[in-house]
Amino acid sequence: MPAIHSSEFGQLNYDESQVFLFPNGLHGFEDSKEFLLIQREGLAPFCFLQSVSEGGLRFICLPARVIDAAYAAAVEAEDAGELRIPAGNYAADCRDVEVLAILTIPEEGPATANLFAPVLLATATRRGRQCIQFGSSAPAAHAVSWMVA
Amino acid sequence: MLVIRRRAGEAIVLPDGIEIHVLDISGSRVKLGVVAPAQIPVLRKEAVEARQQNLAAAASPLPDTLSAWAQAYREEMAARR
Repeated sequence: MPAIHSSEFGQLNYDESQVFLFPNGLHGFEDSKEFLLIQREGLAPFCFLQSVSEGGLRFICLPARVIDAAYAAAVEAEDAGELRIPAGNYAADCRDVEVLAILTIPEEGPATANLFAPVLLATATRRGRQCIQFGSSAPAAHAVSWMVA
Repeated sequence: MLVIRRRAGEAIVLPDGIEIHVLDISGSRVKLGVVAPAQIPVLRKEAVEARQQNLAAAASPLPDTLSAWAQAYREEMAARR
């Protein structure tokens, strides 16, 4: 069984079938093309995108539905081709696609969630992509009211 | 900001072999063509902003308060049921 050493989570054994392929990586991290979705007991609904190739790279995330139950992510043709799913709007609580918001948690000040560039994980195709919501008013730094130090 | 009016089919020229062509205008959208040397990255501004957000997010330390936040959220959800 392959394993990676995560700076945050220590040794992680995983199965290839658990990997999400990001053909273009994430913005700013284009070389990291494989991620694992990590969940930890006691930390739900928080979850983590851990890079397979870079042990030190991980993103703290929340499912978008936790932040806004009415949220939906637009998947345009380019996104759809990469995720190998039909283009369209994917509600935050849809079954086939996990819609995640990446969190930025500064040492001081409020934690924010990026709803302008959500990460979509297609469970059937094991593909992932950060889908920028062009033309949307969804905020890139949405303050999460219950995440205050 | 320099403001220049251009029609479809017209272009502006910048130094170092960069040209920005207005290819088509329809409704509220404009289709641009960019001619630039291969080493000049051409990015949508939103992608640059997403990059900056991601860099800050990846550098965010895992806060000690995460489990407390998680618990508070779960309790709130349980209370709503």
